[in-house]
Amino acid sequence: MKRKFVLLSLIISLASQADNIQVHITDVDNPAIQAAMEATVGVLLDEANAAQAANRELNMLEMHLSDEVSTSLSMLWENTPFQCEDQTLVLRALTTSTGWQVRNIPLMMRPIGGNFNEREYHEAVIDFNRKGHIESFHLTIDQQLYMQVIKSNLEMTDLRRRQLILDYVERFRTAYNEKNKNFLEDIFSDDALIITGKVVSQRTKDGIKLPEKITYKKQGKREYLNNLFAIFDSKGRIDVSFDAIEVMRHPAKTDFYGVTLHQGWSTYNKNGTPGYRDDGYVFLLWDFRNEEHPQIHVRTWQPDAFDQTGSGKKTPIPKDEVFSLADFDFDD
Amino acid sequence: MKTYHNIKTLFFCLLALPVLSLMAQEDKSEIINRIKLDSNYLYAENTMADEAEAFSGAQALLEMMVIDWINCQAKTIDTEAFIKQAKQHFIFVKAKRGQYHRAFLYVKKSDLISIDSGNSATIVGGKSADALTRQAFGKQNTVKESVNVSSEKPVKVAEERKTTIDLTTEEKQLATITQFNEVEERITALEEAGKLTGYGKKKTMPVEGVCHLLVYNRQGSIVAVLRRENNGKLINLRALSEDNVKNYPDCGAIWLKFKN
Repeated sequence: MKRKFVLLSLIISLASQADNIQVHITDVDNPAIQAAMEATVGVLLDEANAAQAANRELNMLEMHLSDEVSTSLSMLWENTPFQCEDQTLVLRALTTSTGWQVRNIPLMMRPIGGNFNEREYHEAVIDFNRKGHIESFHLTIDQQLYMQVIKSNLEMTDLRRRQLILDYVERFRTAYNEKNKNFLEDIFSDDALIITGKVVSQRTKDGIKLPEKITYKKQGKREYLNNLFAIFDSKGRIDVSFDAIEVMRHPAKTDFYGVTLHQGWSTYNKNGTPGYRDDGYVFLLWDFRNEEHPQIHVRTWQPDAFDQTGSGKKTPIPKDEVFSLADFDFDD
Repeated sequence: MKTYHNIKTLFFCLLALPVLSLMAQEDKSEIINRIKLDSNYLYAENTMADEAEAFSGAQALLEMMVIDWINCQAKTIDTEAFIKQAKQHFIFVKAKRGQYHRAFLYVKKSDLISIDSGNSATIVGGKSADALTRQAFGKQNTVKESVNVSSEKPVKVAEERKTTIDLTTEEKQLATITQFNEVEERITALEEAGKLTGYGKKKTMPVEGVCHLLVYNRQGSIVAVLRRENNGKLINLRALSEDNVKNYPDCGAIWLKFKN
């Protein structure tokens, strides 16, 4: 009897590790499509767990993903393989105009070489079309920043809109990391204003160091993207990270939001050696009048610190000098 | 032979331990998943490294979901006052995801519909949101709520095998405190309402009788809210399960004693 009990315990312990992930998705009005979505998510997460355990690439042949989604997943996997440790997932589907969105998929990021500088736990979001096929897979912004915005006192902005804003901020970040030119072409409005700050050192004729100053250069969408895509083509890896976020809603134009981010930007050459790096504040003016196709009308960048006294020591840029919603007037 | 038997027993116990602890965590996951599959509930969850942050985030999410849901019921409400009432019905399940804390909060939809201040109607049909005016609230509903999630459903859940733990309205409110700096205000309010017979630091806690403990860590987060029963057992008012002070090393506590 005791031997049987020991064996049973062993079997339970081993079996629990071998089980595939059971996925249940609620709030889908078509049972066949619901089943297809559940199967797809289950296959994807099972494959992630198997690939991570075997230290290999993701095999996406069985998932029938579009090229765009496959590329996106491959790039994500290249930097940070992930796994799902839940045995059973119950996920709620939100109806969108193009299908459904499933959020809060719990993932543990397993960086290669331990170089990951973000928190281990992340959540993924999957968009499905009306046929139940995956249209996109992306991570949400860092959980701490995410909750900061969710809990902030954004007057009259519902949860759904806050989640949408944060989703697009994360997709925007991911687009740089994945060098997704199509997304960036699409997200900037044709009349977008791009302002880039540059720290300029000054000296007297006698060589005495003066306080640095920031000069600003204006660009249109085309000029900015041409320069950016040239960097994409010439560099190996781009690594963009956000570690602070503030969202402000326009008091009168309620579909317009100003998002200020503290950004870290790093590039790596094609041979893997580090390239350029900077830290600064990015301000984005988002237009959510069409939630299926939000647009950025303004993007600014400023360094987060510069030598303001001529002492040679960099100090943080004063908060009132950081671009915000109040600095821009715009017409319909 | 006896030594071999004892070693064998010890080995068996060690082998069983991971399975047992896994089962305990799976019980909570089972409860969470059953609630999620039940359309009679609204829920929200949040996973963070810090337990108090996980809880406050889940609470904020659930509050927003409640507001969205009640607005969809074509009812107009005084949002702030409604949420204050609704929070009394929130139930909290604490779980883990690896080293991270998973906070799961849920509320029964029928509890939200039934929220009524008594003297003033807080849920009014037929008016537009713009026409809503603030209304005074009467005495709070003090009906005790069972926290057994399976009370109306035929599906078995893990909690059916345990004793139902009822929380009073005051206890539900205590369970929502997340930071030490909220404690003074809450205790003052309870004292002014004549609901307390005493409170103080843990070392002054009465040795007998029912008492409540607000356990805080060095960072000022309230990591547990406990009820000491007459038999000395400690009940965690968030997880709705038995607890032990040994689970909170390097933590302090404030006790308070309610009038019967």
